[in-house]
Amino acid sequence: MKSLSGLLLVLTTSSIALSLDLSAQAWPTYRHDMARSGRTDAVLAVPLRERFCVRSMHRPKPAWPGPAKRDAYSKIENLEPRLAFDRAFHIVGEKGRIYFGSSADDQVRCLDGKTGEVLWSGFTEAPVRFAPTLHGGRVFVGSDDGHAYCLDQETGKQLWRFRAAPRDVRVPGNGRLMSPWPVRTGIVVDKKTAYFCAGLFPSEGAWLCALNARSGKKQFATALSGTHPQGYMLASRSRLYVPTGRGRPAVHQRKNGAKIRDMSGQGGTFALLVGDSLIYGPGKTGELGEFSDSSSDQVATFHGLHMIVHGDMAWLHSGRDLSALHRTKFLKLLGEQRGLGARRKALQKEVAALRKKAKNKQTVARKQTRELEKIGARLQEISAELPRCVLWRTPCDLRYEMIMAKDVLLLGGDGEVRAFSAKDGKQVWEAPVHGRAWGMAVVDDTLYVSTDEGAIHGFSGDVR
Amino acid sequence: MNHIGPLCIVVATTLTLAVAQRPTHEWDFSKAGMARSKGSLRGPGALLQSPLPEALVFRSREDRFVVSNSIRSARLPKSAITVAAWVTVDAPRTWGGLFSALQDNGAFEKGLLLGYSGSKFCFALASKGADDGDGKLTYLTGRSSFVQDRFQHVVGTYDGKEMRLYVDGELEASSKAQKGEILYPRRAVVEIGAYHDDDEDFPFRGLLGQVRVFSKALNEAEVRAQRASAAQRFQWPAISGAVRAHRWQASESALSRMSGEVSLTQTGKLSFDGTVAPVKVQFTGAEALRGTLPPLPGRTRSIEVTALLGSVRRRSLLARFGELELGLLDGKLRFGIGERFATVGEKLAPFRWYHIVATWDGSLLRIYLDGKQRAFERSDPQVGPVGGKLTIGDGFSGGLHELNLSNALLSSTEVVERYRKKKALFPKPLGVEIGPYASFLTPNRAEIRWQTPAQGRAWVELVDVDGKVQRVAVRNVRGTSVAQISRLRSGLSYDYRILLEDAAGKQHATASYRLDTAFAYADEHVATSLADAGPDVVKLVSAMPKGPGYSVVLGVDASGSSHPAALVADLAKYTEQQIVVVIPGAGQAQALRRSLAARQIYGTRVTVVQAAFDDLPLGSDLANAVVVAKGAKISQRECRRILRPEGGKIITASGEVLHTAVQVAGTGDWTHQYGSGANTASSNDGLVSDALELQWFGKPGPRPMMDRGARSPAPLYTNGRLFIHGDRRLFGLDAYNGTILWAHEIPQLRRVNMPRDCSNLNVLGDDLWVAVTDRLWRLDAQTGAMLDTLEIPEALRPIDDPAWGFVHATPNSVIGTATTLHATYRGAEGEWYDKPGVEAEAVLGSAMFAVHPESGELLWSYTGSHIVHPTITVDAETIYFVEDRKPSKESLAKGRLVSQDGKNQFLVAIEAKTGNKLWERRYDFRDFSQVFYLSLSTGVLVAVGTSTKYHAHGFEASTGQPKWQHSHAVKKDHHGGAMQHPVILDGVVYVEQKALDLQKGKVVREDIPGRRGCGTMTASGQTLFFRHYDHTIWNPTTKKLTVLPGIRSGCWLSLIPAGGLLLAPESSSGCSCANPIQTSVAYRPRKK
Repeated sequence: MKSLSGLLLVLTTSSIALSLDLSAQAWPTYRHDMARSGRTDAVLAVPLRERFCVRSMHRPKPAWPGPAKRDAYSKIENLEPRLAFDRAFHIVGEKGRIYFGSSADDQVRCLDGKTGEVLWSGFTEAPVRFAPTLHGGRVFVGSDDGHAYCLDQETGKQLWRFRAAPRDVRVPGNGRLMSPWPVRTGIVVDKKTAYFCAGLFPSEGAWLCALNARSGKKQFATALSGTHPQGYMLASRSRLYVPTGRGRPAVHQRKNGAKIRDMSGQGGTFALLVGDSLIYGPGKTGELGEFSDSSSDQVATFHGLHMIVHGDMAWLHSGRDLSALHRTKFLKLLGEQRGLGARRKALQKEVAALRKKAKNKQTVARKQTRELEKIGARLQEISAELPRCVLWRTPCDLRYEMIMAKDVLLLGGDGEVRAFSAKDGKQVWEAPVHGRAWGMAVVDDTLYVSTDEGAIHGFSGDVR
Repeated sequence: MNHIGPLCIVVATTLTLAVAQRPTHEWDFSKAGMARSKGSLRGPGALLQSPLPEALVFRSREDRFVVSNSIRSARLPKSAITVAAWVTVDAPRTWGGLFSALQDNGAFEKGLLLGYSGSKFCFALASKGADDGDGKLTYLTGRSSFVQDRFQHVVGTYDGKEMRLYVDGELEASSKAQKGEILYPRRAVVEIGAYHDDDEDFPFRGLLGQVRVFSKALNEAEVRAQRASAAQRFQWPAISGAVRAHRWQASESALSRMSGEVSLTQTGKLSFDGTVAPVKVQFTGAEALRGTLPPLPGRTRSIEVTALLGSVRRRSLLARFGELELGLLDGKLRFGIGERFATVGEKLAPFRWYHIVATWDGSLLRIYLDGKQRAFERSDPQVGPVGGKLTIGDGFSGGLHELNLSNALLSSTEVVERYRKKKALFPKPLGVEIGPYASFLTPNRAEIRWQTPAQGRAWVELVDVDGKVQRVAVRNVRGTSVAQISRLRSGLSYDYRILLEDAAGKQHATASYRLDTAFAYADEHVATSLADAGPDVVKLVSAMPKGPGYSVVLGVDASGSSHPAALVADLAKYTEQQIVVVIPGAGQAQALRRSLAARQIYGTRVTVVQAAFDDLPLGSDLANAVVVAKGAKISQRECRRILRPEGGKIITASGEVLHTAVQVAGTGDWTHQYGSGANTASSNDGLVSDALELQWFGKPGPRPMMDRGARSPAPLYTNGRLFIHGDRRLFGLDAYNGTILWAHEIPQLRRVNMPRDCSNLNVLGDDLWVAVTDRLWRLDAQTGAMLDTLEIPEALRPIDDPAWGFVHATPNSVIGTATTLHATYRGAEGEWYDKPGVEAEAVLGSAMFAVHPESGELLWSYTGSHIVHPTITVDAETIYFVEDRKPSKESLAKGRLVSQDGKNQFLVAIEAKTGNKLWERRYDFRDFSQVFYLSLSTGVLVAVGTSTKYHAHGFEASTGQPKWQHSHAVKKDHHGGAMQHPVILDGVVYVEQKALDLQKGKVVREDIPGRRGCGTMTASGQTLFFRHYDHTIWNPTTKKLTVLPGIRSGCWLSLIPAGGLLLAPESSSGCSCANPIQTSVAYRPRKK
């Protein structure tokens, strides 16, 4: 009964959301927001129907080819790509329009979200590999030509551009002429400030920049030491998180760009922020690590390529299955396990020290021994409880992208997209697409899917 | 009586001993014993029953028998112990546990383990007497490898003073490192069938029959008595009863010749495809052979099949007999009964014959592939003897040559034996003299080329991952067969083979090869023929560089043309160059972009940069051409600055060449593995120093390269081109802008372990010479086109497996050595070659020779000894090497220098022009056992090698007279330290961490910075380059160390200073590191 009323409530809410929010649900930046949550409250009226399909003359030209076939030393086959940020033209959009940059023809385009008609396009002087960000009627986009651009959202007119590097020069890079200091972090815009990084090779220098979003005037440009910024940047209220390609993200102060720390972990450019916790990966083996705000140490590891977090729950897909996890409970148990482990270690040392001194070794440290036994018992309970945090798991071999619209999980695969209920993992919809679906976004009532073949599909439900 | 008496006494004593020793703990995994065994079974592990000895099957990760979660409650003996187990291990693994009660977590080492490591049993124990504060385990490892298909008795004992490990009653290891009471951890799980502690959980896979623990250390006689007492129970059974077999062999006449009592209701189509000497039954997926067999006695079965997989199908059957099924699911071989299947992990490759044996002993299902056990699984115990209906080949696409069905249980030894016999009968693939090799023309179109002496109609058969087969016609171009494959999908790999039908209609097929579009480096654009172009365009395009690259167009806005985009569009259409247009005016730039975008060539073919002509925002030395429009005010200085040296052109829009750039003075080449034939690892490039900036970066990345640890051949450079040896592929790049000029996929191209061999590459001028199996290919350095091939002279060609070894080309001769393919290192299984021993054996050449570069005519030969490949050193007139005149039998068999006797090794110099010997010197090189190098500089030959020390010996190059000797202790291991190749620079020999005077051998400096990792050093004229975490530079004059962070080089030689650049092709493939970038990159001297 509870679940039934819950479902009814959801349906009712959905209906309200559908009627009220049809034109109000924006997807203004890569993975929806500066935490890169990949989730929107927009409701998709599943089943969806394809409304249009636009195919670019030129398919995306990713900067980096695939990873090595294997890590022979560690005996790991089929390494996961850690630099897969530009395999498709990633879409952003609002108010019936969608926008994307092209790594093939260096342009930024605005399309009618219903028909796919091109409304305007603007040029940069090198590939645009990262999705634009929409903010305050403006389009912010970075280019491999070393510049951050601000365009008028309505007309595409260039309002300003900014170069972080001290000189303008182009060298052959990733098969094109480009700046040694490309903007490959996307642009995070919050309130009045636009943040981005320029640079790639530390030997050439790199900068973390903050500009006045309206004027393009520099607020700060902090030189980065030993950082290779590459991957969509994230922001919390006080921090900026800079992915570094195959490497580990760096955390910086938002107020002045000063570096706080480098993360540990296995590297990769998929990242999301949950509060002040950073989750990123996929490393070599398809694992996401979670890091708290206060430390570079990993607090949890999840087997997955992408993750979405909402409330207490998290959804993961590994390329083999899709699962729902009670994340807060899982983390709590892990925290307790870690604490008990540390306590046990301390106790063991204590016991060892006491026994070393004692003549009758069996009679000393009884109190500690009792505590150790209790810890052992609790640790066993935790080991049993942890797997129960996975509420459901369903086979699913789609591996390129996952986003969430309200209570529906949307996954991109090779030649197909599918939707699953976030509540129970049941598939609720599927459709074919041209190519591998590396990009997905939900703008208003429409799901946009972009592929490695340069196709952009628009799917929406029948308005009831 | 005299004979019988002692025998009786021995038997009686044995029995007495066996009975006398009572275990404190016993776990007996028989049906009756399980009830008595304390603990609980986890996972799906289940009891194995007759006809094999009763035992527990440990198959999955979860399978284990938990004795106790608390080590205390397990009450294990403390002062002395014996742990004995009856076991058969499935396969070698890094670690496996039979009985574990330990914690081995970093420095924390307590408890005990009876288990195995690799293919050998081990016994580990920690005691209080050897406690270093947090415990210390001693691991004993047995001598012999465990054997499959029989139970072994493994025993670890400890008496408070000594640990011992017995295998089948034989003492295999012992240690007195531990003393006193056993030191158990306070907390550990006690498990059978796992090595399990807080940090690790290595499961055991195989069969466990019994584990016993005694509170004393059994002595050798007692151990043997224990073994004898249960030997009968754990006897591997001989199959009793009548063995009956059914055998079918595809024959030319008809299926009626098949033996057995099967009545076939439908027949498969018999055909020849040339891949088999005998006939095979060809299945297309629609046919099957069906019949009924009389029952076979007993509960054991073996099925033996020789099969060739055609295309992959979702599900296909090789043979089904009753409920017993051998078939493929998604290309993976599986064998089972009912719902239980053993499945081989990897897919079978198409177009390849396999010898497959599947056995069922009534309880265990096993699959052997080409003689090796590859999978096993327990069958459902409820399943009884099978028989009755037989089906062969249902849904199967491919060929079956033979199928044997028997109730005999083939042992692994018998399987190996059968495979060996049948392997010789396996169809021989069609021989290909040259190739095949593939080149991508566009991302989705490839061309495969080869030469074969066989005549007939040929075609290429291509199969994709979904099993879809495509047949492609072949044309003959001047004696070379060429097949163009179209509509290849991006990011997919294909398998292909070449088929040929001879005049008699018989078909022959090659082995299968891989074609992967992930390695398509060609652009989508192909230059259009000039046939429809106007004369002005023809003139301009004719003056333009051929092939891909970058061309900069200046002044198009000032050309006066009413269609300024036309010139640019023509260049984009008729050339393969990327066009970069520089225009000062913002409005004009924008207009031109719009115009080019409308032609759908913006970005992909043309980019417009808005900038002033007197300060072009372009890097230096990158443009293959600068096209200057008429009337434009262009800075000549800027034009020349951006122009690529060694052939870059300044051209007017009317096609007049104003200037052609030449080689920059003072630059160096890298034409051989260690720079030049002199092996100094130095290019003497006068421009490259420690202040560098980015010149270009990009492909090739890590995917097409060999794993870093294989130590592959070095990249080469000359005439502005860079050549890179990838994993079975070869690249030619424009060294100044990184453009991939050409790339060939060459399945046979692979040579590694360079410290123990010579490179298969050499470049001379515009020719790249590449040794591929037994041929030397001559490629056009600019286009990659095959110009010619040379053969090993007939008289010098090894009979088996011939391979062209050393390569050194001169204008008048090509010098080579003959060796064998099996002597060279291939490294296809992830080998690293950084250990002493078998990985360190230098490859030997059986003869050296010189042939004419055009005609292949033999000019001279040098025979009678075996030449140590990594020592071959060449200058303009002389060839130096070390030879072994009496290699050991093992060395001869392997084609490698397995050992040296100090009496038969000679340092030799021969004349390069004639091969005549100039001098020889017998020399004791026994200390040069791990690496063995020879280098030449200013009249001094330097031999460098390692054993326990790092040795460098100097010789007069003109006479071979020894000049000096130097040795010092090796501080770093063979991963990168002891293997270091010397660098000779400015009269100084840089060896591992020391610098020696070239003439005297004296240590002149020891301040060489430490290097981390595995690479070897190189040098320009003034600076050393190496890997120290990242790309690193050390200037010996200023002592300045410069690190270019974030990107690392490979595990041998991949940083080459040449052409005024530091060239660093990607070579960290497979790196465990988190370096942010893996890319090929070039640096140039930074402007002050």
